[in-house]
Amino acid sequence: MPLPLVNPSIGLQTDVQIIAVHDDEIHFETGQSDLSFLRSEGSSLAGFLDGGAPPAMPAAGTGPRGFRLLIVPDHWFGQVEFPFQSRKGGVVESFAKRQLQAAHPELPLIEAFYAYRFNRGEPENQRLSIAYLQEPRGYQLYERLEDCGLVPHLITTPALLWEHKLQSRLGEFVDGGRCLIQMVGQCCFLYFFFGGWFLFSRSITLPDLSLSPDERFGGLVYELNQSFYLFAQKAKADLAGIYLVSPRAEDPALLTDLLGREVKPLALGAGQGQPVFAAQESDSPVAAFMGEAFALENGFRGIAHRRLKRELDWKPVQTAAVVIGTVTLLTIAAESLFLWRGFARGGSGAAAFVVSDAAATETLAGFNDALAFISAEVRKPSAAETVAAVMRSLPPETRIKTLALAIADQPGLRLEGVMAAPGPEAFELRLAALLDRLNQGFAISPPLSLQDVVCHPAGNESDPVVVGGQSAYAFALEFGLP
Amino acid sequence: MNDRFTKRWVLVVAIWSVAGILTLWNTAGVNRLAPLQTAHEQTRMDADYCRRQAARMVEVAEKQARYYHTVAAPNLGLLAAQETLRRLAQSRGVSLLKAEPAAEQPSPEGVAIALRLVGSLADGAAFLALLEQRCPYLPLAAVKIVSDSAAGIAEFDISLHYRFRVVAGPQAAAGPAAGAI
Repeated sequence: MPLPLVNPSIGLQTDVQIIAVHDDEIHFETGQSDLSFLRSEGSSLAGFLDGGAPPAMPAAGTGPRGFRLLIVPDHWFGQVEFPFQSRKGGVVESFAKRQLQAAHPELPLIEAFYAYRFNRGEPENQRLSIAYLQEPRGYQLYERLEDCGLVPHLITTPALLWEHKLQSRLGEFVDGGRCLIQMVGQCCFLYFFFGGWFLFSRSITLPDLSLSPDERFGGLVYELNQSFYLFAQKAKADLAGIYLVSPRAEDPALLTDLLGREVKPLALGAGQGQPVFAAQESDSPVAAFMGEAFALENGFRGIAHRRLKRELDWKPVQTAAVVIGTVTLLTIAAESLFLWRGFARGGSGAAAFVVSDAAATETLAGFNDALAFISAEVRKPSAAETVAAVMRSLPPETRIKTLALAIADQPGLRLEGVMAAPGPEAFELRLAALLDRLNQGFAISPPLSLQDVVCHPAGNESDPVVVGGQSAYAFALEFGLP
Repeated sequence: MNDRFTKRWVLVVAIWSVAGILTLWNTAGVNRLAPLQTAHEQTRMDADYCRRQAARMVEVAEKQARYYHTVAAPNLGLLAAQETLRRLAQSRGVSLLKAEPAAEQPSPEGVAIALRLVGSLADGAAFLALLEQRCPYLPLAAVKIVSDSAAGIAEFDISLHYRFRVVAGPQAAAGPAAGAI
C-alpha cells in the first residue's frame, strides 16, 4: 500500500487550502477559481503554537467540504524500512504501530500519524517502508489547527510532493537514483530519490545572486558532490540522472560544466499548455507547487491522521449508501403510500363488497348443488324402463321368476327365469340370444357371456318341468346398470 | 470531524432501517390485501355470473323443486304421499297391499317407504312408469318382482324414499302433490 494518495477533487480549486510551514513560519493559502492562490502573510510558527491567532484566511476560504493540505519541512517526517512478508493491512498496521511506539515512546500519538508502503521487489525480498511524523512540533501544530477548526486532511512534505509529481511525469524516474535540484531565490534544495522513492533532502543557502556564476555555484558544487557521496552510501548505487528547476535558463548548462555531468532542466508541459513546474522567485520550496502547477496536480502523498483517513476512505461508501438508501426509501415509501390508499379505499371496499355480495356466492353454490342433484337424479336408471327393457329382451317361451332391481346404491339387476327349449343346444342358443339383447339394451360393459349365467334344468331329475312339450331350464344372471 | 463521520453512519443506518421497516410493512400489507382482492374478484365474478344466468337458475331451481314434496308438515306430507300411491295403484289396476314408512317420524332428509303391490307384470310396470313420471319426490330405491306365471300375477316389493320440504303458508298447498294424479 503506497503512502496515502489523496485526490481532493481539486477541479474545485476554490475548495483547496494549503497550510505551509517553512523556516519557522506558517503560511495559509487558498485556491481561487482562476487557478491562482491567495497567500497570507507568513506568521511565526512558534507564536501560532503558543496560542497566537492564525492569520486571516485569504478571501475565498474553504467550505466544510474543502480539502486542506499541510506541507511541513522534509525533516519533520521520519522513514524506516523493514523486511516484511505479509501485505495484510491489519498485520502491517499492528507491526508498524509496535515498531513506532517502541522507537519513539516520547510521541504517544505516533500511532495515528504514519503511513506505509511496500517496495517493488520480489515478494521474498519485500520491504515495508513506514513514514511517520517525527517532529514534536508537528503534533502540536496538528492540535492547534484542530482547535482553530483547520484540521488538515493530509500532511505532506515538499519531497513527497516532488516524488509524486516526478513519478507521474517522468517515465525514467523510477529507475535507479535521481537527484532534483530546486533553485528557489537564494536557496537551493536537493532531493534524492531511488527507485522512485524519496531518500533524503538537503537545503543549501547560495551566496549573493549578484556574484558571478562561478562564485555563486562554487560552494554548491562542493555540497552537491558531498551529497552525491552520501547518496552512494545510502543507496549503494550511482545517480542515474540529475534534474534542475531554476528560474534562470542558463543554470543547467553552468551546473553541467561545473559538475562534469549532465544536469537536465525540468520544463515539461502538462498538456493543454499549462506549465508543470513553476520556478518561483521565492525562498520557499513550497512555492513551486503553488498556483497553476498545484491546481493541476491530481493527488498528494503524505500522512493522514488514521481516524481522518478512515473517514476519508469510508466517505464514498457513506455517500453511496445515503444516496442509494434515499432513492430506495422514496421508492418504498411510494409503494407504502399506494398500499395505504389501497387499504383506505379498495381494501375496506373490497371487504364490504365481499360481505354484501356473499349472497351471490351462496346463490351460485346453491345453483351448483341443484345442478349436481338433478344430474345425479337424471343418471339414475328408470325402474319402469328397465323392467320394460328386460321384458323386451326375453325370447319366446321364457318366463321371469324374480327380477330384483337396485337403483339407489350400486344400480344393478338380478334376473331369475325359466326358459323352455327342445334341448340343451337350443337352450344355449336362446340363452345367447337373451344375453345379446340384454348387452345391447343396457350397454353392459363388459358384456355378459354364457359363463356369467347360472343354469340348470328346472324342477328336479325325478320330476323335470316340461313346458309345452319342451324341457324347461332355470337360469339366473345379474349385471350392473350403467 | 469524528462527529460528522458518526452522524453520517447514523444517517445511513436510519435511512436503511426505515427502508427495511417500510419493506416489511409493505410485504405484510400486500399479503393482507391479496386475499381480499382475490375474494373481491371472485365475488364480483359470481355476481356477474348470477346476473347473466338468473333465468337459468330459476329454471334449475324449479326443476329441483319437483324432486321435493312441498308440505306444511312432514306427517301431513307423508299422508298425502301414501294417498297418492294408492291412487296411482288404483289407476293402473294393481292392488296396493302395503305402503308403510320405515319410521313414524320422518327425518328432515325424508323417509323410506316400503310398498307391496300385486298385479300383472304389465300393470305393475305401468304403475312404476307413472310413479316415476308423476312423483319425482318419491324416487325408487329398489324393486323386486316375483312373478307367478301360472297365475299370471306378480308381487312387487318396492322401496322408495319420500323427499319433502316443509314450507309454511299457502305455498305448501301448491306443491307437486296437489296435482299428483
